[in-house]
Parts: sequence; C-alpha cells; structure tokens
Amino acid sequence: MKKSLAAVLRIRESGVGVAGASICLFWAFVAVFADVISPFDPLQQLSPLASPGEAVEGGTMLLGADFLGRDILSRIIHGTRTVFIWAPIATASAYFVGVIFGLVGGYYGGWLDDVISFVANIILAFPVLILLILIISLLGPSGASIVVAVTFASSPAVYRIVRGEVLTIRSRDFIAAAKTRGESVVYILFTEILPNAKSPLIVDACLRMGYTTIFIGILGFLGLGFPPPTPDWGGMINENRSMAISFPHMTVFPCLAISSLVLGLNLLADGIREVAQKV
Amino acid sequence: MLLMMLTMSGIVFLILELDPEGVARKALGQFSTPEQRVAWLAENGYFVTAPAGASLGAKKHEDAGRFVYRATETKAVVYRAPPEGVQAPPQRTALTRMTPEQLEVLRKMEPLRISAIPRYVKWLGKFVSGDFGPSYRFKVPVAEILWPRLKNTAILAGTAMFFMIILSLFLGVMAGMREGSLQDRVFSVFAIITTSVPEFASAVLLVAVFVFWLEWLPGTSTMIGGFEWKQLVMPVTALVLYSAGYVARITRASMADVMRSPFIRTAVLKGIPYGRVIVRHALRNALITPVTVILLQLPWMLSGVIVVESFFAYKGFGSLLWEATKFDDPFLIEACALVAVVVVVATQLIADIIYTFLNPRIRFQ
Repeated sequence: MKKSLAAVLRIRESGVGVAGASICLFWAFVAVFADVISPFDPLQQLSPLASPGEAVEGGTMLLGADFLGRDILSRIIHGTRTVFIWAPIATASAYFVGVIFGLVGGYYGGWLDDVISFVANIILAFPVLILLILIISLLGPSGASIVVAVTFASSPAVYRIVRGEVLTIRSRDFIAAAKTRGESVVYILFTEILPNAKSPLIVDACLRMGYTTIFIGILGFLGLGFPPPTPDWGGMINENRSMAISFPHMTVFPCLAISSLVLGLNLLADGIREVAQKV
Repeated sequence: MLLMMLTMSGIVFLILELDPEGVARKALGQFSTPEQRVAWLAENGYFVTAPAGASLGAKKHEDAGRFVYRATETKAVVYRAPPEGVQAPPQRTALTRMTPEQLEVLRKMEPLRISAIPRYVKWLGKFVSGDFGPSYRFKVPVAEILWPRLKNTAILAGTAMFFMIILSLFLGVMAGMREGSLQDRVFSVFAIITTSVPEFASAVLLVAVFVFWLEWLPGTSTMIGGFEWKQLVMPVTALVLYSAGYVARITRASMADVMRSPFIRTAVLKGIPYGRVIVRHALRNALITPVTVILLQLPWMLSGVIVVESFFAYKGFGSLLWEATKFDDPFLIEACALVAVVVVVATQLIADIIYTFLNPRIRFQ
C-alpha cells in the first residue's frame, strides 16, 4: 500500500505531470462535491438568456444562464458528474475487452492472433465517429450504449498495446520458469505478464480517458448523448448552439470545461510517461 | 484489401442490418404497425417469397401466382405477383382476415426470413451495382443526394488537408530540428493544447472570437447564396487545428530521431551548410512516417467533418450522415457508412504504395 502510494506520488518529479494531475484532481473534486459547490439547481429555470454576472433571486449567475434560464455554472458543475461516471466506466470496459483479447492473442499467437489483429486493425482504420454513430443509432442514445460504442471503438487500440507488450514479455526467462513450475495459463497471463506491461497501459489509459471524454462530448454535441434534462457538457453545447453566435457564453464555457479536462488528462499521460522513463 | 473491404462492410452490415425489423421501424417510423413493417420487409426483399399459391386456399383470389408473405395474429398480407416477364414489385391486393386453420398453414411455411449471410451478399451486391435505395427523409433516391454532398465534403476536407499538411510538417520540422530549444518547447505547448481541444470545442471558441467578438467572418457555412471561400474559413480552421497537432507531433518525433542519427552528424562535420543538410539529408528520411500518418488522417477527417459540418450547417457528407442518424433514415446511413469504407480502404492502399516509394527497403514479396 505504501509502495503504491509512493509510486503515485512520483508524479511530482514531472512538472507537466503535476499540472495535469492538478487539473484532473480539480475536476474530480468538483464532481464529488457538485451538490455543495453549485450555486443553483442545474434544472431550475431562473432567468432565460441571462448574461454572465447577472444577479437573480438567490445569488449571482457567474457564467450566465442558457435559453431556458438554467444556471450555466451549476450545469457545468453537475455535468462533471456525468463525465466522471461514464468516461471511466466506458474506458474500463474497453480495457477489460482489449486486455483479455490482447493477452490471449499475444500469448497464443498463431491464427487466433492473426484473426483478432485483422479485425482490430479494421475497426481502428474505420472513422471512429462514424462507428460510434452507427452503434448509437442501433441502440438508441443512453449511457449504456455509449459504453458499448466506446468499448467497440477503443478496445482494438488497447488490444494492440497489450499484444505488443505480451509478445516481448512472453519470451523472458521468468515466464519460462513459471511454465516449468506448472503454473496455469490464467496465472501466467494475469500475475506474470500483465503487471509487467502496466506502465504503457497506464499512460494509454490516461490518453484514452481523454478520448472517451471527447467522444462523450461529441455524442452529446450531436444530440446522440444523454437524454435532454441531464446536465452534460456536450449536450449543453448542443442545446444552445443555435444561439452560439448571439450568446456565446452558453456554449463557450462547457467547451472550456471539456477542453481543460482533456488537456489535464493528456498532460498527466505525458507526465507519467516522463516519470516511467526515468527509472 | 478486398478482404478488408468485405470485413468492414460486414461490420457495417452487422450493426445496421442484422435486425431487419429495426430497419423497417426506422424506415416507416416509430408508430408503424407490425403489419406495415412486415409488408415493408417483404417489399424490400427481406423474406423468401412463399411458393406461389401455396397457402391460398384462403380467399377468393383464385388466380395462380399470388404470394403470401407473412401472417400476423389474424391477418395476412397478400400480394399479387406481376405478370410473366415483367420486372415489378408485387402489388398488394388485400389485407385478408384468416381463419385459424389457414393461419396454421401459413405458420408451417416458415422460415420465410432469409438468413444473414445471403442477405449480406445481396445487400452488398445492391450497393456495388449503385442501387442505394430511397432516402425516407429527403424523399429522393439516396444516390441523388449523396454525390453532391460528397463533392462539397471533398472541397472542405481537401482544403483542410492541404493546410493541415503544410502547417503540421512545417511546425514539426522546425521543432524537431533543434530538440529542446525554445521553438521546440513552444511547439510542444501548441501541440498538446490543440490535441486537447476537440473540433466542436474549437468551432465554438472560433465562433465566439471571430463571429461574435471581432465580427470578421460569417458564423455559418450554408453556402445558400453560392460558394464562398469566406464561409469555408471557420470549418477548415476547426478541422486543421485538431489534426495538425497530432501529425506535427509525429513529424517532430521523426525529425528529432533523424537529426540524432550519425549520417547527419557526418554531413554537418563534412562542412555542408546546415540548411542543405536539413533539406537534402534529413527531410527525406524524416518525412516517411508523417506522410503515411497524414494519409491515414483522411479517415479521421471524416469523423471531424461530421462535427464541423453539422455545427456550421455545411451541406456535406458529414451533416448528411448526422441528419440521417437523427431522422433514422436506414438506407442513407448505410450508404454513408459504405462511402466511409471505400475511403478508408482507398487511403490504406495509397498509403502502402507511397510508403514503398519513399522507403525502398520495403518491398512486397
């Protein structure tokens, strides 16, 4: 426990990593304490088209209100929850599928690996967004279908990384030793190979979380995300974009929120990579 | 390549067509009755036609060559076959009430549904021969609306690719030339910010700055009053910003790698002017990776195009797919997806060819 904490704290060694981690922690804090810090109810309709800084009954709308009069700041704060719930679930699900296929494909090799790699390459070559849209149009817009779509579109990339790592690790001596000891394949895959492949996977997980955040944002933006009253960053842009030219505050702030979170995740990934290379 | 195309279209088929009832629901709308959907499926060739006259002891239609497609609880849709030698869809003649015994006969006629694989072959054959089916949203054949839209997108994506290539190669080479220098650091900041801001966000921010605040540019690109370059500026910028960061990073890494290699050091030590070393020795080697990456960006651009076009109301392929999805227009979605398949496979092919051209060490066995 102490050891893993020390490993996490090593991110201090990288300036970029600290910046990224701070941004991510900030948003995580906002997500956890959304109820406490948001000034208004995100669904309450107060003062339509209010501009930033306008005072209404019960406080000031720092970032203004949308066309229905809902406070933008509160919606962004609550939207953080939507992202922090669904992006990790979707990424984890993509990882679950990608890691299992990668371990099996890389370890056994042969025709099995060829087939999985072929399908993975094809999914990767296809435009992601079209794939996501096709799947969402099949399943209908909801959190669960976002998870399915992201898993389908992202797991091949995870597969590729895991497979590459397995290929280099499996010829090492300690794997041969484990085989000689008579360990089961499952044991070798999950306790001998997987932990040794973790550092590129952690870097990729940060980047992929960023991509997933973007995907969820895009789907919300296209009106294929969460059903309307849910405070969701992409959805907010979609709801207000017909007024983007005359009332930019409605769309600009959710955009900044998404971009800053993705930036934080990308910086964190860079930082982790930097720290991992130093060893 | 052919295998790739087949698999890709297979995936599209699996997602969109595996459940024919779903397709019928999309084509006819949420409130269509089961009978209507069955009739639609029958008309569009999703069922094997029953042997002529097989179950038709039922009603007065004594003339031979009628088809019964499928029975629901109490009704069956009856079709009259076209006369001999005439290519026409069967005419619906009646929605007949059936007795339980007659229904029993009909049920025994199952399976009427064609299984997935022959259906896939038929489906693909239809698209290959250029028959894309009707668009239910636009009330015209899909092909009629698809081609002009593709042309518009080609203009948009082509312009974006052009600027993206220039910008990213220039920045990448400049940064990679002197690793760790000030220009390299400034570049890194630029690259990580642009790759973090997705197209829809940069589009919104651009509109806020250049349309709302500075009032320099129009905020939409509908091109209603004819083609205008001015309207293309914003969508192109949004597309370029996001993809340029990524390609430039690859270029930088590749350039930095080459600059570290011994032959560059030798060239510099021989006394060749620095500029010439860069242009003659470094660039050609450094550009191999970025060129392939750039070509593979083209499919990615199709993703970006959906976002940007729907935001700026540009009448292209991306906004077409978006509208098709919003209004559940099955054949239009399928046609768009297959266009994407063709684009992907074509770029892969071109990338392979260019790669062997740039790097003579690679040869196909």
